[in-house]
Amino acid sequence: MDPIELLNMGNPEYGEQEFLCYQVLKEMRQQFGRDMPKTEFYKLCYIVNEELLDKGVDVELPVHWYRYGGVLTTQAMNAGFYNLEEKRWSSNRGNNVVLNDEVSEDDFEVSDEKKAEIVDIASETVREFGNIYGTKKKKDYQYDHYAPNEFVRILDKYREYLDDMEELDRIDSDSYVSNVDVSFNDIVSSPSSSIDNSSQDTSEQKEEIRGYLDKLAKVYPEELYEGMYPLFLEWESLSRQLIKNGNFSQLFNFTEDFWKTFSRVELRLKHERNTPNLKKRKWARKKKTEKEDFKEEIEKYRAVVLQNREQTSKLHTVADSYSETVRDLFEELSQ
Amino acid sequence: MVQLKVLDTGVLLGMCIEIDQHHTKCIDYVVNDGCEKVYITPTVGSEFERKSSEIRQKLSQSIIKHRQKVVKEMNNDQLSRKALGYIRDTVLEGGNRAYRFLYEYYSKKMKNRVSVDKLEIVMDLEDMETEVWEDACKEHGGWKSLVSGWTKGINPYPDIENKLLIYEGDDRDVCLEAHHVAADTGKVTELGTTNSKHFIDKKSGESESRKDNILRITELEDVKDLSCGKVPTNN
Repeated sequence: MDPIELLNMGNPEYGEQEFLCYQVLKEMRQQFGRDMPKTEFYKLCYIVNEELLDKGVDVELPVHWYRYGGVLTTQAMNAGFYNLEEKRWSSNRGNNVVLNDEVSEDDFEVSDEKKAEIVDIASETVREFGNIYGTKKKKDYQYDHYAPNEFVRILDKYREYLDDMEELDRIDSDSYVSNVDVSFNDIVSSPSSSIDNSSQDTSEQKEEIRGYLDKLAKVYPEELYEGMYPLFLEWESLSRQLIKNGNFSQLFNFTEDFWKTFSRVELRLKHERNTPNLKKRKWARKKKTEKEDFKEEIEKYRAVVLQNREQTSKLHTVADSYSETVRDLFEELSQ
Repeated sequence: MVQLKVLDTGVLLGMCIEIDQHHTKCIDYVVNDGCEKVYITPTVGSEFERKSSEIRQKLSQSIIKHRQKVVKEMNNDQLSRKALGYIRDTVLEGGNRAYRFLYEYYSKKMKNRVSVDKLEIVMDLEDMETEVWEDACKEHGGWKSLVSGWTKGINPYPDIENKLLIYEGDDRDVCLEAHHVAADTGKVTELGTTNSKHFIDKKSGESESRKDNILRITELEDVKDLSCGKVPTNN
């Protein structure tokens, strides 16, 4: 036996947290004979952890809420018991999580009692979710059961709605705007069928989208997410202008940008457990630049909106009092 | 015959954001009478970018917050005159920066309509919060097409600086930069300002009016008062 191995005998390398994740990987292999992508793995571990917490079993798994739901904070764990292998699925590329065959149960330090619970729940969870490849069902489950609040839940539904809108629906040739990044797909896809036929659908879609934005504004937790509140207001306002102009694919991209920033500025810091302090400080330091980057995005989308919107003059009906307000504000800022 | 005009920040504001008679006054100053060039000097340029952005942001966000509040608190799709009054007098917060013109907006609506679709109000508010960001010079080709940035650098003028009465905030720099344009080009140059208090009037305790002081010490030909007809205060 290798002297190092001898030394490590009786010195388990991994703890309860890692055992939970290890068990999830093992169960998937045993029950369904497959490995899974990183994203699916994170979600299942998160779910198993929540179910265990429900039973009063806390392995102090480091987790946080992020763009698509609850995930593992992998950098906070000793991840040597698995490897990431690059994989291709149709047009996507990602990483599969593959158990390190050299690792066995003995390498994990965990009480028998907890072990039994973990094995139990991991087995059950994998059984429920393992037969469906991909993350949608798990993500939906997470959002239904564990979403931090209504705002986060509705934003997910909204993003899903925008995503589900047919590629063809998203490209309205009349609303193609130069000088703004569009995907290659956007450009080559053929435009939707005649404006007359699609206008009915389009107005229904616009109404649906407005409904989502109304709901989001209604439930936005101002105090909890104070940091992102001003940017939320501007995003919400510009989104409405984008809808008006029928810029659906711009709306989708804008929403994704918003959510990415929101996840980094608010979600992962406000809804986390067992994150090491170093990691938390790193995330906190990044908040400022994330917000500044998104402010730049807002400026770009605003420029597009202003360039393409139908001219209105509602402020002109109150021109005097509006202009006076502007002057007073200018004076105030000049003090 | 004026050859060059240099603008103060307030004039740019009048051109780009304001939309009342003062706006017309500022546009007329810049567009008509055929002077060679209208300059924006560095201090004015950066002050304008900063302040106009902040003003637009504050006002736009105030309208947005109010709009969201209307949707949250008014459940009916149709709003009666009474409901509009309720929005104006209760939903609209006194501390809202857009209070003055939103109050007027609702008053006008109440005067002209017996009932109105809630959606119409919401759409009007959406328009307003976006119009705040519009360039009021758009129909003249945008403000950047009407003015030129002074890019040839500014010299220091310690002697002039010492004798200038104007000292508030960026105003002294604005004045010195305008002087530099006149000195550097050798052309008949005037400064247009909306800030009569600091650039034109005589302040108590000072030996001469600000305008006289500027014209005596610098090479500016004139300081044009483009302020609104507000009641002058004694300072």
